Amino acid sequence: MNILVCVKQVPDTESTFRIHDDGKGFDEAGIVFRINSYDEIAVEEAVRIKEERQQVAITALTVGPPRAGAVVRRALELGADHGVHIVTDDGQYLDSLQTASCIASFARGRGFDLILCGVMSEDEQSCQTGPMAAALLDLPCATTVISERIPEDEPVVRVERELEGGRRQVVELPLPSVLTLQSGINRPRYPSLSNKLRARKQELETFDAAGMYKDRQCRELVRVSLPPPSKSGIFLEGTLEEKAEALIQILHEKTDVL
Amino acid sequence: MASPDQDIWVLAEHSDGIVQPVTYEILAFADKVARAINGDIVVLAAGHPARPAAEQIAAATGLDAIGLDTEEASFDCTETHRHLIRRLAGSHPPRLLFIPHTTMGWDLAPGLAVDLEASSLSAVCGFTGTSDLVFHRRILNGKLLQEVRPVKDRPAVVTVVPGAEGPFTATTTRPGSVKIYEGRSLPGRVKVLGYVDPPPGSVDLRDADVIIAAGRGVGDAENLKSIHELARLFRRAAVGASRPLCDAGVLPLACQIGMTGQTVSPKLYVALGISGALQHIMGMKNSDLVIAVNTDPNAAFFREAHYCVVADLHEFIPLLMEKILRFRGNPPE
Repeated sequence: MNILVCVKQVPDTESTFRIHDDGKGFDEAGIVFRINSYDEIAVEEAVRIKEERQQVAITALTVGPPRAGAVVRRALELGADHGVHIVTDDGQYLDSLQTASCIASFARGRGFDLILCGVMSEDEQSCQTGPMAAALLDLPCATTVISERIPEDEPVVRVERELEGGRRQVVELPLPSVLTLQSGINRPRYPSLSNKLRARKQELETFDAAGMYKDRQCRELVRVSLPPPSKSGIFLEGTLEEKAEALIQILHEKTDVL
Repeated sequence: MASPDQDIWVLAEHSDGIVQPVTYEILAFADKVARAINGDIVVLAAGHPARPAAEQIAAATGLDAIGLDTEEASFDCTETHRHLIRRLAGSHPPRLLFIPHTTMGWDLAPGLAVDLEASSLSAVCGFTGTSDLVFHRRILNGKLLQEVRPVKDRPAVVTVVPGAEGPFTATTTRPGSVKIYEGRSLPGRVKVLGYVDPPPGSVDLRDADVIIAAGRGVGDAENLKSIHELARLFRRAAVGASRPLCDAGVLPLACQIGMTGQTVSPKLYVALGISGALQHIMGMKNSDLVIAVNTDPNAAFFREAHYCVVADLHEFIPLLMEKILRFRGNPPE
């Protein structure tokens, strides 16, 4: 079984962001980048499938600027066998369709039985790239997958999808298929020392993204800005003691819960 | 693809013959856009059965509704809905197709946009412009605002965040027309085997007057203990959590508030160490009074709160509990 896992490099969302001079992104100075946590979950799921079955090969793929190679290496540390980096220019914004086109263009004809993605990226939070890649490859797709099982003797995958309010839909897809994984399906392991050493030495296969998403675009990025200050939120000032006092006063005046 | 006209389609969310309230929120958003571009709205309800939903919407809104029935429950899945909408669009897709940014929208919208060779915009919460529409969305957990525009002369599939607009208000009491199309020669690759209902929660967050909600910023078990103690100081109170905390197994899944968890509207919502992911906000935005405490002064959740406290939870929670007890022991006149 041949599994492709798509991973993205994202900034730590706890960072303080400053708008870049071009007005279309944020200043990268001082920002820490890491693997998208949903994608780390997808790598873990692939590794678990590999541990349960014979002859599973896992390819980890990213689409991103030169710095993004680090997340493919992270996927190798977690247990992926091969690493692929489709390289974009520094500062180049790719929309979901352009990224999905790169993935599809790589995956086409390579015989993957299963393509795993995170349900969304933590930076753009569009929830689009995985299902778009599926549509471009004309493969069935299930999103928000919270459990999956591939029977030994049938070329299908049975999954539970998380719906609103914690309800789940159980669906069966033929292989090959694309799944996007929701957090909670597993808890990613820490990389083993042997995998870390292997990942450090291993070469990544690289491609130039430019030719892979030509003539594809699904939106135009106009600008990025800091959101206007909150309209209603009042920050309580003073010492901790004063803040607590003020809060009690607010609860007393505005509610009957005290 | 032919240049689309000013038609606006809105995909309803319904299950078991009941139209979900989010449908009317997305319709209100679509209505605002329709006024800006002078467009006409048609509501689509895809699924099995489609008629009850289409009729309810046409009656409640006065808008025309089209039901796309999938005939069989086992085909009642995104792949089929996509197929039916694509066929309805044929060579005359609408200018805009609005879909709720729910798990239904996540599953459906991207593939449909590819099918229709359409623009694709996700999780929008606002827009500006008239003929040239620019849509607004929040990225990086709400820390930045991003403005995006559909590609020129293409239809656009747009998922809209629930609650982006208040519910739709009908301007007529006359029901809209209802048309039903039966699905035929469906793709049938994805099969629905059934549904699993969520496990009953040990706490019913929906009944609570006070919710003390914990996020990733809670940090350690000691903080968590004091959060439970804080909750016990109130009558009809419950402890809730954001998704990461439940995923990490710190609190049970039944405590999860947000899109894939519970939707709550207590009198008081105290958010402790919650960063402000959109999925969480969607589950609590109707709370009466929202207090947020976080060490990060830039936490996006502060935008959702009425009162914000920048503080270390370790120090602040015990202090707050002490103040509450003192207040009760010696209430002001």
